[in-house]
Amino acid sequence: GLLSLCLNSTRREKVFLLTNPTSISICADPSRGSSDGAQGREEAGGEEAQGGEAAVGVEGVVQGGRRRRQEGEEEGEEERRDLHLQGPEAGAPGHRHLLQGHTSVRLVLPGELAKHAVSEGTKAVTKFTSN
Amino acid sequence: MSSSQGGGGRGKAKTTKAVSRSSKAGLQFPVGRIARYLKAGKYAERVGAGAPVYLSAVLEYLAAEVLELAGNAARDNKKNRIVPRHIQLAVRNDEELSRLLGTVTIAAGGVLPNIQQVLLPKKGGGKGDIGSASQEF
Repeated sequence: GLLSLCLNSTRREKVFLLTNPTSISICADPSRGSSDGAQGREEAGGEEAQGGEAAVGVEGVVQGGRRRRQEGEEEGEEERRDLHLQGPEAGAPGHRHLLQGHTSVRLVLPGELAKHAVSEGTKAVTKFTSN
Repeated sequence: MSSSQGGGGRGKAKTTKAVSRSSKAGLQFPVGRIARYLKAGKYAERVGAGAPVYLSAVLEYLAAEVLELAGNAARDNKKNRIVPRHIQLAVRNDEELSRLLGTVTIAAGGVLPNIQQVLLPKKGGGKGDIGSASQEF
């Protein structure tokens, strides 16, 4: 809960520092910063939803232990992806299709809310792409 | 609500009727509007095609969750219209929504009815009155 929000704010501030230093004052506002961060996180999550969709299919096959380990790897990859933002010349990681789309939603929403929200998002994207 | 042109229908000379991205995804929330907000908000230089669909679905789920609980609260109070008080009661009585909106103040929401146990009057009022006058008496 609180820790997730702190992580979220920290990442958001990093992005602000890189893109627009004059926005630091806006980011200093706690409520504004948190809401913007939430929006950004959800946007990032959505952007990777298609990759996440494929990964969800794969997860259905692997065993429980491997799934847990795989989720750990995904978290690591998410952190690596954020490091790419440090330099403007850095592009999206080549292994983008492996990234999970729901990481940001899981960071923002607590517990069961995150689980159901990820399910709804994945279902909507699946239906959208099949139409 | 923005829409995208579907593929040309077979045997039809006319342009195909516009089909909204919300209906394609089976959502009620506007995918096109949210896509515009994502682009105009400058969160990133580019926005993927699936991002506004995913975000719309998540927002719709959260809205449905809050409205479901607020509707139950309104019904419990024998009302047909949801007011801020019902939303406050719904949010604060749910553990996860309470955590999600932990730093949020709802205008005209009030607080949950809650009285600390030690402040309640004791049993046996008469004896309590005598006791309150003086412990040693």
